[in-house]
Amino acid sequence: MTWYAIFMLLRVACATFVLLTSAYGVVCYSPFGFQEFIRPHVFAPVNKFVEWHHILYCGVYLLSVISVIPDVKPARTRYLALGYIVVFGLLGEWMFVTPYLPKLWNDSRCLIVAIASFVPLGWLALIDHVATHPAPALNDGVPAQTHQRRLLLASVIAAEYLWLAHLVQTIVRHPAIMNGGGWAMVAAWSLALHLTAFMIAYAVIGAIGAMAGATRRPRHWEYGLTVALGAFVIGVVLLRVVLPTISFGAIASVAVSAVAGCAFAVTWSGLALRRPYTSREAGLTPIDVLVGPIAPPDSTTVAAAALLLLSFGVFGATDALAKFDWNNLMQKLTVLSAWALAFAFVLALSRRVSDAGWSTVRAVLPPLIVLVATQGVAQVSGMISRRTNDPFLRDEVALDRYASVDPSFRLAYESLVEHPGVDPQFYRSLQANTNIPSWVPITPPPFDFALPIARAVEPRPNIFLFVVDSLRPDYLASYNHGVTFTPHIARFAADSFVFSNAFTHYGGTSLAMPSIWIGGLTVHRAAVQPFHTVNVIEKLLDADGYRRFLSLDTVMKPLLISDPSTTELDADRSVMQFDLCHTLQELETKLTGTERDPRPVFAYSLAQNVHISNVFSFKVPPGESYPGFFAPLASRLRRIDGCFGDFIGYLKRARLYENSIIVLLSDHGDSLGEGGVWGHGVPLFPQVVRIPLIIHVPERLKSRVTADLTQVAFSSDVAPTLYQLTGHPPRDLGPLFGRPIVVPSDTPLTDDRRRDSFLVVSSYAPTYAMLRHNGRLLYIADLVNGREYEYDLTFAPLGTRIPVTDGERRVNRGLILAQVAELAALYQFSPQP
Amino acid sequence: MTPRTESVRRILLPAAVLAVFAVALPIRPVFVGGRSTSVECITLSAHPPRGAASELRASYERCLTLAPDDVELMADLGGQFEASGDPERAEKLYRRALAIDPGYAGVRLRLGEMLLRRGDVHGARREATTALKSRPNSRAVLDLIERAGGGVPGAAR
Repeated sequence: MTWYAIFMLLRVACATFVLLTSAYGVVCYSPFGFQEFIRPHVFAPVNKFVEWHHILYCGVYLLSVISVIPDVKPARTRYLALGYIVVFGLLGEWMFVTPYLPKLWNDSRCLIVAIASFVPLGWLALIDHVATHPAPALNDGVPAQTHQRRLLLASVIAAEYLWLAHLVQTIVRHPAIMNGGGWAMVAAWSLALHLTAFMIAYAVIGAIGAMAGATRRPRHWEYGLTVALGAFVIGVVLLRVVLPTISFGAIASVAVSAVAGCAFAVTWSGLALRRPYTSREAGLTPIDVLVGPIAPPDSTTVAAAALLLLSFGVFGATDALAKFDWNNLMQKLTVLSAWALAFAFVLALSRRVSDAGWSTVRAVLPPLIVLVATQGVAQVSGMISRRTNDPFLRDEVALDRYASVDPSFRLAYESLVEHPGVDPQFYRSLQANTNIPSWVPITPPPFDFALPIARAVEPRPNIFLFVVDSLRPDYLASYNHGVTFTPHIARFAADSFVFSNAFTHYGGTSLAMPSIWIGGLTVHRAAVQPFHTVNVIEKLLDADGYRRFLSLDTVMKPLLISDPSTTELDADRSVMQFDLCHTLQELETKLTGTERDPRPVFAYSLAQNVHISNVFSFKVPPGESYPGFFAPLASRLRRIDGCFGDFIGYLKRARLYENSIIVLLSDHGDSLGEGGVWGHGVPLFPQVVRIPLIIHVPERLKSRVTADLTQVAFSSDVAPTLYQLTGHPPRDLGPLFGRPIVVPSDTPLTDDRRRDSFLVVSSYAPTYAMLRHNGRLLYIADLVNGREYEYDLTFAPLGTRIPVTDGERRVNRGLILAQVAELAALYQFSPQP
Repeated sequence: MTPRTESVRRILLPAAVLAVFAVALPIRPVFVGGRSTSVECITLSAHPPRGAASELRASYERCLTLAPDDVELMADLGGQFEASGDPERAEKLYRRALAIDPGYAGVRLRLGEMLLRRGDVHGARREATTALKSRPNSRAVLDLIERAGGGVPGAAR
């Protein structure tokens, strides 16, 4: 048994390495994944893995060779084992000399890596199956198949265990999210859905057993069909759950999912067959053999203990992964694994359940009863919701609230419940306008807020455009009186226009930043070329002869024209290291001594200090405390607030402040654990789309301009506002473009903008939103997860969730489709369905 | 029953159960709706039409009962009442709108003008001063403050 334990560890190490390599290939092949994660080197562990891949390969190869050494001697596995050692040894040698992974770019090589990575795993599995043929566990002469009674018992007990364990833990961890009635309602839903999921498994495995029973070798057929089922389930999970989150191509997804599913299934099968079989284990069913590696038939104590600890493991894992999760993907995979493990452990514990023969009643009645009961729960909870004003009994909102804290229920709820408004046509229309591939031609016409742009007559003001990635307005004192850690920004804001109702059109940097430079909406492609024709800020800088100090991030660097008047800041840093303090110090150094240069200054940076990937790894210094806030973020913000204050002090001393437009904003917000969500990937919740927007104008202009500080404003309004303030009143380019939000004092008060509807889009996936009623209503269509939401933002900055009516759905979807079509027409691009 | 028939039965029954699940799932609950408003009312709020005052007023009032927190509808209906010589109802609507959206400077200015016409100078100045917080330096707001006999607090930023 010791050798088997070592053997298992060696194979798990190989499988893990293969999985990581294939996952890298998948992300690399996805245009979105490559642009957002790989190219900017966002995650340090991934960078290290790629850098060390050829060395790790050699290590894992040696471990796998240790596991096949016993197979070199027997005749039937000799050539397979030697072949493995030679082929992959040569591959390792080649990779050691010319490391392959670091050279990968966003092309078909990545897909080849994603698929070919599984070849060694498949080869090892082949060796395992040949070595153990005929498998003693399946050829002991005892005609044992998994009987119906045991299967039913295992399905019901596993479902009830998962339901109860998660419900109890959720009540203990989050007692305040429901009242008594609410807990009863969600408990009923959760039990019904867990049982439904496991009744499906019961029916499928029952069908497999019946099919196998009709053959001449039922145990072998049951075993083989169960392995095939495992391959199918893994493939479907990859295809429907994992790969859609990174907008992977359809055909490629099928290929990767099929290969991965088969590879993992046969690897597990090999592990199961290799387990030492003793005569005491005579009569093991095929499923007993398959779950043997984790739930050995003679270790019921282990299975019971593992089962008891399982739900703690799920919560622990989901808590640990929450901050790194992408669209709850890790959470879903953790829960799926837990479901499989629970079933395996309960099956192991039920080995002694006697066979009561096959029964039609047992085959049909339990699943149908569960199905009817589930439908009944749905009907009854709807009736109760309609008859009560208790907000905890508003079923959709209550269920979503519970789903955000019970990961097992969340998986069952998202898989088995279809929310109203699912519309494949709507999805297809938007999908065709999302993540537009690079080969689709897009030829935007030139955008010009002023044509021609004559050089400004007045003294040209300096422009400082500071974007702090992922900064939320409720973490600034100017927006939230509870904030005590941004006094310098507050002081700056007191001398500026603070737009209290500002939003971004895009929930991610890759589109939010171009939209700032364009002064309007952009199509859903990371790099629209030629960008200069639509880059209205660059045109202004050219016309007025600005000298530029630019911190060039990976999003804007390829889009901006290389200009001799440009001084690059942060040239020695990767984008995730862009630190506002360092940037401002460098800017101050480079500006000092150039006061006599008559050209005005334009400075731009995209600081990453409070980006979630930097915040998670940050340890709050001892003595600092930020009750009510996410401490690592608050601490980092405190530091850059100090630096910002120092820089403003420098501008005042250098007599630049009086003639400067200073814009401080963020490209988008972020989720910091609200509803169990972290980051700003797919969802467009209020905390992701609200931004701070603070504009300081030169002294001589202050008495001549006004702004509507509570009217909805966007980051795309910055460009036309710069035109206005530099003496180039911008034309109205239409509803897809921004408008100046600082205007002459005598501008009449109109409320057009309060009535307009504004498109908001995820930068990464088909999630579209419509912001209306002056930013008081936010409708979100999350097409990745098949959900829609509506938030009332009137009294709470992060909004109150409200149910969606048919009228709201129809109007909002119509507006979304209309604006997306307008955008496609503006950019002269034809969506490919 | 022959073994073959028994085998077929054992395969078909779970398959039939799965077929029933395939038809019945996913569960499609009818969730309770939220803002009970119609497409007509949503459009009315976003794009106020031109039409006979009495017809419009009826539409606005009907839509406001469905969406009692629609500030734009309140502002438009208030304007209707103001134009038709019913300042009390106009004022009520304006105040209701401002309770939800206190930064709505346009409505606050309309209210201030109404108060000034009524002779409530203090009220007019108060509304205009409050409007100035969300529309600093606005000529229209400063003008009302001046006409309401006030200084120009914070006029020059």
